[in-house]
Amino acid sequence: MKISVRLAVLVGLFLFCLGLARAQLIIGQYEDEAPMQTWNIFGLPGATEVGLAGTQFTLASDTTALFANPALMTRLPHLSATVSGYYTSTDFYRYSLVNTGVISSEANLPLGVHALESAAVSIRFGSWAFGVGYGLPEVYDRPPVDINYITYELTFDQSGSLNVLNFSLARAFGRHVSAGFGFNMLSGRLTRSSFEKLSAGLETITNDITQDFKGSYFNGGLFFDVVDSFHVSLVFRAPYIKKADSRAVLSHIGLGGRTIVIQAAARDEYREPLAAGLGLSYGLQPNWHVVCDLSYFNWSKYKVTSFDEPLARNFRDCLKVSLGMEYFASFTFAGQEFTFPVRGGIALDQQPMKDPRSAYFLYSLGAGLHWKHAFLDLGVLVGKESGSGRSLATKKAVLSLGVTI
Amino acid sequence: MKKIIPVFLLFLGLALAVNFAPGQDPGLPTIVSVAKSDLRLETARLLDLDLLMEVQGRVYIVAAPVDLQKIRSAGIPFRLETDLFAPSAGSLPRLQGDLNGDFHSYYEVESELKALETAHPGLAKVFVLGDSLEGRHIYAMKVSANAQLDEDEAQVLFLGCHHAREWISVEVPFLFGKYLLDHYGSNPDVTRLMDSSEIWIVPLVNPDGLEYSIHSYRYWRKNRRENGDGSWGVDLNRNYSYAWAWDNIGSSPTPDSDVYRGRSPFSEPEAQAVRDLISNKNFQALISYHSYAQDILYPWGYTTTHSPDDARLRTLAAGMAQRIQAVNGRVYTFGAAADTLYVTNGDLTDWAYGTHGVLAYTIEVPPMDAQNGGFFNAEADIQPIFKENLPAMTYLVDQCIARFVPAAVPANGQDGKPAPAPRPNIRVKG
Repeated sequence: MKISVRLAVLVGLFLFCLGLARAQLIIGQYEDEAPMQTWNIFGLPGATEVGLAGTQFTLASDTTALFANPALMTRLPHLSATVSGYYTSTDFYRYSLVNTGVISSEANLPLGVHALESAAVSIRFGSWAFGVGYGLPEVYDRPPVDINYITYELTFDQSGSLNVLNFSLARAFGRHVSAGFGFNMLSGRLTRSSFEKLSAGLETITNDITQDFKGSYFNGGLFFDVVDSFHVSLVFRAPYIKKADSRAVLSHIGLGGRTIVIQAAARDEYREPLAAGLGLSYGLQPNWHVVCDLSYFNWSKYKVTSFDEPLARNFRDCLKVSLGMEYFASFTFAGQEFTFPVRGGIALDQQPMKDPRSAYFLYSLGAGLHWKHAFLDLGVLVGKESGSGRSLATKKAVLSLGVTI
Repeated sequence: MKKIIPVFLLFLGLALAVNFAPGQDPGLPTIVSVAKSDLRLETARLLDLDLLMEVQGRVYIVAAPVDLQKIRSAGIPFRLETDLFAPSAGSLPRLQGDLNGDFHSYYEVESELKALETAHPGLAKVFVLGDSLEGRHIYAMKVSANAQLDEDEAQVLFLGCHHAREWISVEVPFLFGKYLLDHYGSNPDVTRLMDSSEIWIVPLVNPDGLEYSIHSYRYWRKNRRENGDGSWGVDLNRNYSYAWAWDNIGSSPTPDSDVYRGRSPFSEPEAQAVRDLISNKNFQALISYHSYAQDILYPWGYTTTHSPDDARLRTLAAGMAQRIQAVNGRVYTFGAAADTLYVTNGDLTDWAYGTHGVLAYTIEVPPMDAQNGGFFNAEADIQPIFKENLPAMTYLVDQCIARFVPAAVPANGQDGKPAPAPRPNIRVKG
């Protein structure tokens, strides 16, 4: 018995030490190129989809569908256009200079961002549909740092985003099957700068890094109307290379002395992995339906270089599961008929870092007002991360405005 | 249908014109300055300008052509300053290069050591001494005629980059190894050195720290240990066991200190790798390169009491300083570390000398002070600093060869087979 207790203690101690040893190696979720909120970005869910915890593969609710599953355009009205804007607040803890040895913070650091997220239009001619859309899938901003003492100053700032322009084509094959493909062109920029004055002002160090992104990728999807109340979708986003024109200027200015500058320029690559998904939707009743998305991200294939050197990203493949439910109520007001959808959902979003293993658990609420050819939807997604020990919180509210003809 | 097409075209045009702005002009940045009074911070933010620094009332800006246009449009008078940076930066503008310019990163050290081994079979052999906390290899290159054999020759060790931000300290030992290999057979002095000694080069003791210094924070010093209290890093040159934690002046028990000595002696795998190399070899002398101060330091560091070999250590240090000065007139101060710079405990040289009797030196290469760069060196400084140190390094190897006494020829064992050679235990005598 004593031996077993000792053994258990030793094994426990070993595992604890192993945990300590492993935990030190990884910066966590927010590597410099990590988008805010999640690594797993696939499509650009509008307010309807956000209200359903991000489910988007089988929902032909508006034109944001073309970013995730272009086949859904064949299910939209003849002309449809949607504009979405968002506000998000996301917690950071460890990133760049913060909590990696230079600046420490006991609390998580929230950052709020608002932006036009997407604008898309689709047109349908018979069994064919064409769509074009602009979106802002990734934002690289970080909470800024500004320390200002008499003998020491440090400022740090990182910002950036990635834009996508999507052209999609889809066709319906009979009443029950549709297929669609999209071509996506990317552009964007990431800037990171730091300024440090030390040795009581004798030395000033500045570091400015800029990366201009370009790239393109294909996405596509199939939609099966299995029966009127049950739909299935299969979607993919092909692996692609996001190219970066990287430039940097590092300088040291000695007060009354010498100025030293090191400049760098390189062509870097972010080898983004395949993403694929399965979507299901089921109509419980004419005004009730349930939707479910399962997304797979092949992050183990992710590779990145920084100024021609490979950066270590010890990633694993991961999954995102979303489940949503929608109810439509109708009412008449001033002689006009309105529809009032109410939505809710939950999602589990695994992050790709192998250590610490981390995932967001999210829940959502949404509502809308649809009137003839116009609609307004609001979706709110709230989540908390587990695995890093920091319980990073994230919130996102999306407002979508659309017209259909 | 007539309405649909214009609406679609309008939408497409808007998307292209407003939202799909092409990436910024990839042209080379120009450095301009504007008077601080002309550029409020708010204006700079509005214009999305990339501020470089502020010196004597002028704000310096790294400006792409599009930024210059913005400054012009805002009516802010500016001055072109790119030339101001040119003399120290070497050949501006550069079209390619790493974040650390001509200095070596971990990947460059790794690939170039392997390339040297391939290019010089029999003269260079690369070893992995161990792995860093983040899993990078700590490499050593043995440079000698018959490098694949353990010969009974003088052994001298040159190390660099215990401290991450001291980028120049990687270059001096690395370039020394390369110089020896490139000149073997053509330079009689180099040929003689390599025929008579085994020279070991460990250019990068702290690879994790160096990579963090390159990619995240230029002035990072320690390794990348997460100390568990929010602080990071152990000073590898305070983690050796001799006189470890002797006092709290020469090292610190506080994890967030720049000279934190670690939880225990040799707690860090990087220091363990160096320990194992020195313990398994028979080095007569070593130099650990650092920056900055222009000093040649020798034990003791932990106390101002002189070591038993102080005279010999001093003579060799003087010889090295003299040879450095002869190259370009640059003066390196020399003396026992605690007397000359400051007290340190748990450093490599005290341990190597105190435990193994190795004549161990720390050389702090230029600049002399913070105003002239501190831990920064210009890329153009690399070759001059290496060249001024070269005669000091060859002098030290020469001195070790001159005083090296080979092990006795082993006698036959009783079973008729040759007895195993006794492990040489030879020290350079002062």
